[in-house]
Amino acid sequence: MTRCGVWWWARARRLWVLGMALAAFAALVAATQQGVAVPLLSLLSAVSVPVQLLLFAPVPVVAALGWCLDNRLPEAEAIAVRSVRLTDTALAAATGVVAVAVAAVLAAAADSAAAVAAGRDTCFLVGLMLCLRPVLGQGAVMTGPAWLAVVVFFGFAPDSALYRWTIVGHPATSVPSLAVTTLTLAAGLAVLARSTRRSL
Amino acid sequence: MTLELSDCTYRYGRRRPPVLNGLTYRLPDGLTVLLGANGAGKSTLLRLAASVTRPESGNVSLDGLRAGTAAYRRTVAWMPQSITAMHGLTAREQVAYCGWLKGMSSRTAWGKAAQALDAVGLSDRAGTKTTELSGGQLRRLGVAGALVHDARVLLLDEPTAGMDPRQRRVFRDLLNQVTRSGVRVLMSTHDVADLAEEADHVTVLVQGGIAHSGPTRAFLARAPADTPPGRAAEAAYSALVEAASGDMSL
Amino acid sequence: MRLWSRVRTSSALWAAPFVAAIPLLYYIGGAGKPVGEVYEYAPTVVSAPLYAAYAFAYAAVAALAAWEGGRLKEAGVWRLAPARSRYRIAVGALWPVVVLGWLTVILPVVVALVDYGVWPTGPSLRPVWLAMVMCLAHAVIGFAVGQRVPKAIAAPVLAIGVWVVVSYSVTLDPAWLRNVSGAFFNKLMLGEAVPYRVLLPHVLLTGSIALALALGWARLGKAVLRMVLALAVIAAGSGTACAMAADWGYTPPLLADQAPMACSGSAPRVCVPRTLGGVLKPAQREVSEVIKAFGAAGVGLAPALVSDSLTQGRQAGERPSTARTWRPPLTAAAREGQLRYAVTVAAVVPPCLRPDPARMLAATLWATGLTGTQRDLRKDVVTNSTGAPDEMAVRDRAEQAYLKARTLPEDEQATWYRATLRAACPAGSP
Repeated sequence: MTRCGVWWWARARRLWVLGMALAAFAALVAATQQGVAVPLLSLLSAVSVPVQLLLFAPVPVVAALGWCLDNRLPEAEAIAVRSVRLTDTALAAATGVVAVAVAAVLAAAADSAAAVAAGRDTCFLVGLMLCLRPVLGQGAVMTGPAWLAVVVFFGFAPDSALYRWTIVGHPATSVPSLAVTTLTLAAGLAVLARSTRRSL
Repeated sequence: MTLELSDCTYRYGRRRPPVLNGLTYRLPDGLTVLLGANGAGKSTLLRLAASVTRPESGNVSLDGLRAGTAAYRRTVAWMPQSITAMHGLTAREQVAYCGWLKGMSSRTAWGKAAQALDAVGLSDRAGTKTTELSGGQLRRLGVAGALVHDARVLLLDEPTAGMDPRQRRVFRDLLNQVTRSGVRVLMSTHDVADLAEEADHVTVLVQGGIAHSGPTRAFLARAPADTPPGRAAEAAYSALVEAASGDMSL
Repeated sequence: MRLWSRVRTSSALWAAPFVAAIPLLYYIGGAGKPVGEVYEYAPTVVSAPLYAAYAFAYAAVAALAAWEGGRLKEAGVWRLAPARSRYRIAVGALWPVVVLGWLTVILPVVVALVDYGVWPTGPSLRPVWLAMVMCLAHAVIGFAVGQRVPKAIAAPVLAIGVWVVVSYSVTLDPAWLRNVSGAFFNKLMLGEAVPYRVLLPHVLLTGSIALALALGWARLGKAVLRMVLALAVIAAGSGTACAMAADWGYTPPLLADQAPMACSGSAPRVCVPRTLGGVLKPAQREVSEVIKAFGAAGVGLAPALVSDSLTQGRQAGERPSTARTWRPPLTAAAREGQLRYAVTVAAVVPPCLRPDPARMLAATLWATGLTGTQRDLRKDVVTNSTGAPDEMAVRDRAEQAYLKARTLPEDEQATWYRATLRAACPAGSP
């Protein structure tokens, strides 16, 4: 195992950190999927709205993925023959898949559909982060918190329901959220596949 | 095996003046030392030749192979000015990773990594974490990374920086060995006195253009007649730069 | 490093438009505005926008400080063997972040003060000092985290973590947890002010963590010693904070009667909030009338002070009138046209805190009969009635006692009144 190219790539990316982030994600989802809320002030409705803590569970995963992707051997990977960009793209896709799977398992275990949405939200925020990475560089890791902040400030209607454009926080059965998440993740993966090549 | 840059222009940023302006260059056989002041374009030339980046205009090719293709990259190796020490990897693992990136199988890369480390005198550090290597050791690691996959063209950016005299001696012997096996080497350096005399060819870049490209003998002949012994390379370089830029002020 | 270079290269610069704008937008949108009347009272004006700013400011400061800490580490600053102390270097990197945090809490306060045309007072600024000290503490914590954890992970996790944890403290049980969270989540009413001792637990908890982390850089010998010292600091700070706040409810003990008052007269001195000075003359008049009416009936009243209970804030009603100090709701009563009634009720003072309700009601019926405000009392009783049988029984007993007292000669009625008040308090009751 330790004499395998993919292993060296995984060590170079320090994927164990991403593993820990996914574990933290699982713990957060398990702890909050039954509906733990925090009162945060909405700008639009000028009152505190109960925001599900589950909404914030994807943040460690998105941050860890962004950081892992930045752990590179730039001089060697810039002129590599093997397609490291495809490996990185596969990593990002796999992160989304694992997050969805973890959330689904936890939802099934707790007989609650709420957690499934956390997996979808992770995919959306991953896609968003990847889309903005060429522009913002390492600062793209703040995309997750920034989007969630925008959702809290502007995303709640007077009746405390979420507007559709927020994408995150909607039930797992929300078709628009799923569609936009899929598109965003696909776009992010496409950007990642192209941008890694030119990153030096 | 001819590496050729044709009419290449490159600039860092749209509003900046070009670092290389319409440069045409063919890499000769053997060991070529690339000289030039800071900012002359040495690293840029090497990066273009290594297909790290593409020129704004012009072509880079290797025996008809376009730069950037897998076949081109398999044939060319590059050692940049600064070497990254990958957290979590040992010296051998990092070199093997470089080989794997160049398309070698993991097993082959692992074996060749040990040989490359031995060639640069780092075999006793094969199991050391790269973050624990000294600056000079890290540069030798970079050289090992360039040597690991049996490239036919080696592009080395200041490989001897940080090496002590003995290590430089070992490195020059290694280069001689490599060039004798038919590999073409283009090496940028500030170490004019030592390496110019070992090189087969010298190329001097001044302000993004070639001021001299030819055999070492022809380069050294440019030194003024009254140059003290052992200072011919420095004097020749100074004379060339003066002639090329018209006025030289420190 | 030159000032502009420092600012230009700091993450605080690009975060500033977003971070500083949010609490301002909270204020403009209404979430950060005081609820109800302000009465030109500075603590009310200051505490409202801060309510919306604390958590967000701390989160932004912690995240940006982690980013700066990570930047310094990645740039290899510590490997350069700097001649300046680590603290000095950290301060150099952190001050733009701290200034941004301060701006985030100060700007909406300034806007609110200008909006309401109120000058800040010393007590009104205490929550602002708390917020500024907390920004410092969060900057230290964020910086320390950024030295250990990659900034790309530390910054977003701290941003959300601090925001959620500080905001979440208001929902936690036991209640004292919100009193150590670093945010003074109370909107102050007229007359209220926060004492420093209420803010101290906030500072102790977060400050001890920050101090412990900062001690990690001190050259104090072995790492074990530093760790022990750090743990001791955290234990002492957080333990003290928790001990101080343990008995506090959702609202910590606040100062009352802090509003500037307008007063006149003596024996009694009548005081109302200065900004409501229009009530003073009518209140003084009604107080005189009530004292006269009681006196004519043979009950001598000699309060030293009659002070509007409005300045007690949410403690109004918890500090009942005494024989020497009456606390009627003068402003509210004046608005309802019930000044005399309110003063009369305040004048009926039993010698204990929990008098018998039937006897109190009987005494109050008699007193309001004296001052011609019995109608208001009866209306109040009916309005506040729940219809419960024991409540109806209390009213019946009171009514009977009052009617019986009305049949007594006038000079005996005064005696009855005094005896009823005494009897309302069993022997030994506080």
